[in-house]
Amino acid sequence: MTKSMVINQKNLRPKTVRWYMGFKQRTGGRGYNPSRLVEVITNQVHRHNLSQYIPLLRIEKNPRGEYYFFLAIESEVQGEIPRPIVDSKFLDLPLFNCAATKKGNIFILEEIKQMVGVSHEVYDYTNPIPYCSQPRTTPESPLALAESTNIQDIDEKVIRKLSERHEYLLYWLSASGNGTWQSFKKICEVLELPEPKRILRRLKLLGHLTISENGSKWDVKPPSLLLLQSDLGTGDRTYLLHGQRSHPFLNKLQEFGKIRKELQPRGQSPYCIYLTVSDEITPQNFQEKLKTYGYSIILSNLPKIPSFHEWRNSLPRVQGVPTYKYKVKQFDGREFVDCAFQNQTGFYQFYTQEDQKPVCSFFYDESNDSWLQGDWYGLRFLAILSMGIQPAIYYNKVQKTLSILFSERLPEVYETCLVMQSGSLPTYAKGYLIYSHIPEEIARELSENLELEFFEE
Amino acid sequence: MSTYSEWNNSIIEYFISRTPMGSKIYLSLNDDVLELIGNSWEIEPSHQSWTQNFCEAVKNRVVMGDRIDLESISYVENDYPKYVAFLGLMVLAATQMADDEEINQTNYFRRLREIIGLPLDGQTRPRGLRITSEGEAPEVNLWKRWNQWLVKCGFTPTAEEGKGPSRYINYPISQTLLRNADRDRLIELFSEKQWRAYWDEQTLFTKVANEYHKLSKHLKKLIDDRQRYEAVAEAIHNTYEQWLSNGSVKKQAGYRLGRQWKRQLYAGLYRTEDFLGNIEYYLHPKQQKGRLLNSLEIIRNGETYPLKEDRVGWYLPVGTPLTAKEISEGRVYSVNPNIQVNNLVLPNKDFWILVPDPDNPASGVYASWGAPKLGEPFIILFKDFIFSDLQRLRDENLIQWEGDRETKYEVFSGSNWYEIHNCQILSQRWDAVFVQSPELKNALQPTTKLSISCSGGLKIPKINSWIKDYPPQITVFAFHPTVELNVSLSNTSIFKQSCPSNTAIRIEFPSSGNFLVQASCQGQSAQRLVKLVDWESIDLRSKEVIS
Repeated sequence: MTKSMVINQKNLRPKTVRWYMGFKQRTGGRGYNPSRLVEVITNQVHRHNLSQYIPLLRIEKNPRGEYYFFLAIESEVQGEIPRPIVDSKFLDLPLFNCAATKKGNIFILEEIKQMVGVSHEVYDYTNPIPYCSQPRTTPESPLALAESTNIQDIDEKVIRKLSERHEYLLYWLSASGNGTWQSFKKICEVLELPEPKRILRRLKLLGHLTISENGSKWDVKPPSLLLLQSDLGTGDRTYLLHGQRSHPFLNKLQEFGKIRKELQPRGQSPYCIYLTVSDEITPQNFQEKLKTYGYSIILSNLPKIPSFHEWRNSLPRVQGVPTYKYKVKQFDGREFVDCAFQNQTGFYQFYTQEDQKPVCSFFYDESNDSWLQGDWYGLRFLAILSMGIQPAIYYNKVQKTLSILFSERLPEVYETCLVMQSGSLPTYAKGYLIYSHIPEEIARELSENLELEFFEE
Repeated sequence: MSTYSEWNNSIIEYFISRTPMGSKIYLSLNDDVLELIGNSWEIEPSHQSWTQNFCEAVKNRVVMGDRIDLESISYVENDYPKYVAFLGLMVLAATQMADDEEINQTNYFRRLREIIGLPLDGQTRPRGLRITSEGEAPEVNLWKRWNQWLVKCGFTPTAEEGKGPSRYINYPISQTLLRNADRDRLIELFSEKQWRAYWDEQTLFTKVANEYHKLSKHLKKLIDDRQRYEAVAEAIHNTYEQWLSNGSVKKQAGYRLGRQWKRQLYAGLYRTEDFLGNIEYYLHPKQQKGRLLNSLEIIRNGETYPLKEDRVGWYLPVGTPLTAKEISEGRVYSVNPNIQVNNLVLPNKDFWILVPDPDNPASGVYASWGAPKLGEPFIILFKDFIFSDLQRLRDENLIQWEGDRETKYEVFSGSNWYEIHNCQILSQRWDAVFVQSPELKNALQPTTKLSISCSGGLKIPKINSWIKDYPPQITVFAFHPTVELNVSLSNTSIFKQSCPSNTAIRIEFPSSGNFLVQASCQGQSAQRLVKLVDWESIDLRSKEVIS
């Protein structure tokens, strides 16, 4: 269901005026003190079901001895007592025996304001809590990105500092377990980590997180070790650590082998952590030993490379995209340009009318009239293909690197396969993204599954 | 015969397990609670009631000859204070006072002597509990330590000193909720009215409060006491459920209500909103206090959903989003297996108060986790006819929400359900305003005059702690312009001054540790623990803080 604001809804009741009847009361003898008076009148109003005609009671400030109180009445005409009040005989109660004035006993707020208080405050006068209007934030999909060109060199010191903060972010995520996109964004803000959408994406590429289909919830993965290589000579095995982690957990892990921490390019993610263990320690050994410390660890496998059709068919379809609510822009192969949506296949991004911030992005498929949801680069990739562009990959057999044009970045699921080969994010060079430690068979499989042109360097 | 230690530990667990952090804890020990605890041991109480069994166990432990020996129980063992069963016995004595019995020291200690088997000796207080030369009653130290222990565990203590002759006996009296006489009166009322609906605690409380003139003196006092509103509503609801489980029969002479757990689980609403403005509400089942229920499944629309624990006090939201019809009409869902409980009830309500996640206010999730705290923004989901009441409350400066007084958002298109956003309580004086829905007034009217709120910083929700380098700011919400604020670590004050209320204060916390934040103003006080830890101390979700 989508909320919609309803303003100036017509009230079913006829328009009413509020006026007051005043009475005298004593605190001593047979009279009621103010709190007892409120209690008695409240009970009577509810018993006779009169709350829609008698909304409230105002009592004289600092009542002592004899005091005045004023019963608010709501009626169509000022001074006219509504029929239900008359019928109930409510005003026949002894409480109302002594009217404040013999002349009609009709007051308006202005006349009694000084006596009962200076503003619309009821009964007595405390310090109200000031209303704190919460800043209205535009809801946005974490999947909607804006093209980034921020690839300048960064100082080593800055990289270290950033890495540390990302490491802390992963500790926080690990301790929390799961959460919403809003809470993720908030924590990035507290840790002074810019561009939370990209951070979320990088953590997914590195196998630390999974997110729900529309990105609104995240779940940190359990701690896992991925076997990267076995030394044929010594039998030592090197694993890549991903998923949850913490300081005490890393300390325990050190008992089983050597831990090596490496900075990610540009410090844009937590450290890349490798664990090298000797051949004497079997995976079962340290899984069981870790259990005695209260930790469980999974031995994971490299993610499979899905076929293009498998991936495309897995993209969720979204119903009822409110194109009318936003400013629509379509991807033209290089950038998003203003358009009026006319049911044309393509990659669309929706922006707020006011501040031009991207709220969400979807791929529209004209052939079956459906909106596809997915990672931003994945949808852009679909758009590129639909325009007849043939992306390519470049493989360097010697260096075992794979390069892709920055503007043809692969869908997230494929990029994850590349990043997990080494645990390292890609580097940037001359408009290309470069992935390291990529075996040739992976590069070829990728090219076949995605029907990419393959160039060997 | 169960031992003192068994009773002590079980009583502590009954009052704090499955109880959400921050809850007010009343050590309201009575025959019902003792019977529930005793029955959970699956042994017979050997020719006597569980209450007698409990009193015997306490007597054997603390009565030495003709005196009470508090020394033998005034320590903490395995993180549990050893003196709680004795304090519970003090509350039991207050619970057993008759409705017309005047509360004074003489009457109270006569009751206490009766249940612990100490003879009268011409003195009000029994030996071992007599006022010391320093002028303080010996048991007061234990009450203070109990309060401190609760704060350390993340709960809100409620035992407090009284004034005048009731100064010390007010500690146990402040813990009593329903006395035996009150429960009898309620059962009479339920029988007379033949209420058999699945009302939630708030709705039932309002129904009972509407019968004010029929209630006992003590019950009236409880109904009027806004500070105990939630606990009293829960206690009344427990009695109601017991009455329903016993066939909702009229109380007759000698009739004794069978003590048993509630046969129903109750659900609140869990609200999410995505970036397209789509709002969804889910069933959010509440756990039963003091009772662990495992491996239950909820059957809804032919589908089965396992109940999984989310956090203390609550299960994870269940199944697919609720329909407008389910929310409008309420629903009773079957529970499988139905050995311990029969159903999950979504009450039929005219409105829902939805507050931000208390563990993680930045999550954007709102749910019926409890009453809104002072200064806290919340959402009200309501049927259209409630709107005029809300507007009246706004006109009187009692609440405020985002936009003008006409602003409301339609949810479930075509239905009569609406939301208002960013609501906030402004004032404490609600008594003289009359609205059509007394349930709404009860739900919104503040239950405290002072509230300590922590905002900002870097909080680890699962362990309710902040990272030392990113501590929270402290705001004391109050209806008075200034408050006295004291922040201490191990009884050493690190911040003490008069501060403006309703304003965020930045405190320089010198280290990690458990900081006690205390605020007071005009005779009211509140306290809260702020735990600060370092990065090295936090661990994976499944594990507690190491330090």
